[in-house]
Amino acid sequence: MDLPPPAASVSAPLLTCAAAGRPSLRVAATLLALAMLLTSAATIADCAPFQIDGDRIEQPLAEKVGEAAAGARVAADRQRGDCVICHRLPLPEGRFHGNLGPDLQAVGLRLSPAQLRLRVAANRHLNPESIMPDYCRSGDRHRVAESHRGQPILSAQEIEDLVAWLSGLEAVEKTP
Amino acid sequence: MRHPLLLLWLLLALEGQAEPLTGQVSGYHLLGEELQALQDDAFANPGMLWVDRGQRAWNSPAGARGTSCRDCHGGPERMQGLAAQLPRWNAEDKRLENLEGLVRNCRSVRQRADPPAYESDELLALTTLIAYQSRGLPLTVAVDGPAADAFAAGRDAFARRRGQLDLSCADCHDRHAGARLRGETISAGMINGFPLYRLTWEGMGSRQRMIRWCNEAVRAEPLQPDTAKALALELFLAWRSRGLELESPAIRR
Ligand code: HEC
Ligand code: HEC
Repeated sequence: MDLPPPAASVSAPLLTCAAAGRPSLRVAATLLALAMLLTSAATIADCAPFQIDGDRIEQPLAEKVGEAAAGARVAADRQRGDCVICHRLPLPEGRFHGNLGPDLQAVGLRLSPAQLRLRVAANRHLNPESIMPDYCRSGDRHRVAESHRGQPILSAQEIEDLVAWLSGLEAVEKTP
Repeated sequence: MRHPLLLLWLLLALEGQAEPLTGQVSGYHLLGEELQALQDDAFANPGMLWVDRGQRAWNSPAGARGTSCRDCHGGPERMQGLAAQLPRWNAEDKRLENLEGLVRNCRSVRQRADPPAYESDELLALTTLIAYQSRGLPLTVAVDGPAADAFAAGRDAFARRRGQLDLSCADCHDRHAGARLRGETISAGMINGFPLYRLTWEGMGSRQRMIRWCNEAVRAEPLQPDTAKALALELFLAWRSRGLELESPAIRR
């Protein structure tokens, strides 16, 4: 399934990662982003520019390679990922996991890093009705608390760390 | 004729807890036997402390006029039925009024005292005492006529995704009621128990405190408790809970 991105976040494809490697384009993209910040009252600041291909985001969102151990901490942290609220994961907190989303204990067998990246960064691109939030997006939200306004839930690096950790999950531990 | 129905019944019974919660289901059903017994026991239920405090407050003179609630209203039992019909449209002020608003209004206008703060023990004592008079009565609110616009606004607010997590009340309490959010089973979001004692709060709270808590969970801007928006949402929640018996002071996790 390849749905067009939601209309409200057209800014994301404008600033795609295609520009990431080339300094001049990068500067141009930054200027464009600044101009957009100044002209629109509704700040749209994704955690990083990204390009969606089918059901994947191929390019890493951050420069530093993701680190699995850090990803596990993000997933457990109530102030950051808090993924156990909806998913079963191999974490001590996982004993009190929620079941709103699928069991992720072996998700690395099902999904590639590029597929995982899209699901964490912008899952609602695949399923607009999904209850799972878009962790890299921040635009077009209603009544966001002042302390979080204009910010995505996670940073690009945190998402890369999560992707590194999730892609290594390959074993299901049965509930005792 | 009977066999297919029997089979269906068996299937549902086997499904047990995985069955989604639909329609009007009181949060009482998610409590487990021990907490249900606690709610039902007038001596052990911690919420009854607020009813007792409310009794004392009801009889105590206050404010510039030195009057008590009793001086104007008689005994608290005269309030029977009231809490089950709130919020309701106030034609004079052209706005909705809820239980907290009515009590605060009496305090300031009739007694000439400072209205007790939202979620203060003083206010919760009086509101719980009044709600307790309607225990067992079904929730029925008027949502037509002059209340129709507010009702529509409340319905929209319930369905509208909000906050940094971009979730609506309906996402959790409609579409995913019965699922587990971390360790907690999500209820159908009924408000027949309020004011109620929540173990996670270690205290009492009003309907509006619950709305605030859920808004905070999705990192949304708080709804101030006496605004048209907050009252409209409360009206919609009361209508969603229609027909359920008022349980205040209920116990919830
Ligand atoms: C509010 C609930 C909720 C939260 C919080 C949540 N998810 Fe999800 N997640 C879901 C649901 C529901 C699905 C199923 C697919 C869908 O609805 O789009 C899902 C699907 C996924 C998938 C795809 C699984 C598959 O087998 O296809 C991944 C990967 C995932 N989530 C990772 C995460 C991570 C990592 C976090 C935390 C940073 C997280 N989720 C937080 C509800 C949630
Ligand atoms: C991320 C999930 C989530 C969202 C979104 C959410 N809630 Fe809740 N809500 C909960 C949980 C968890 C509880 C505590 C368990 C329970 O009673 O359902 C709760 C409890 C409640 C209760 C108390 C039910 C009872 O039996 O006492 C009400 C009423 C309620 N929520 C209303 C709302 C409203 C109104 C909104 C939107 C402003 C909302 N909720 C949004 C998760 C959520």
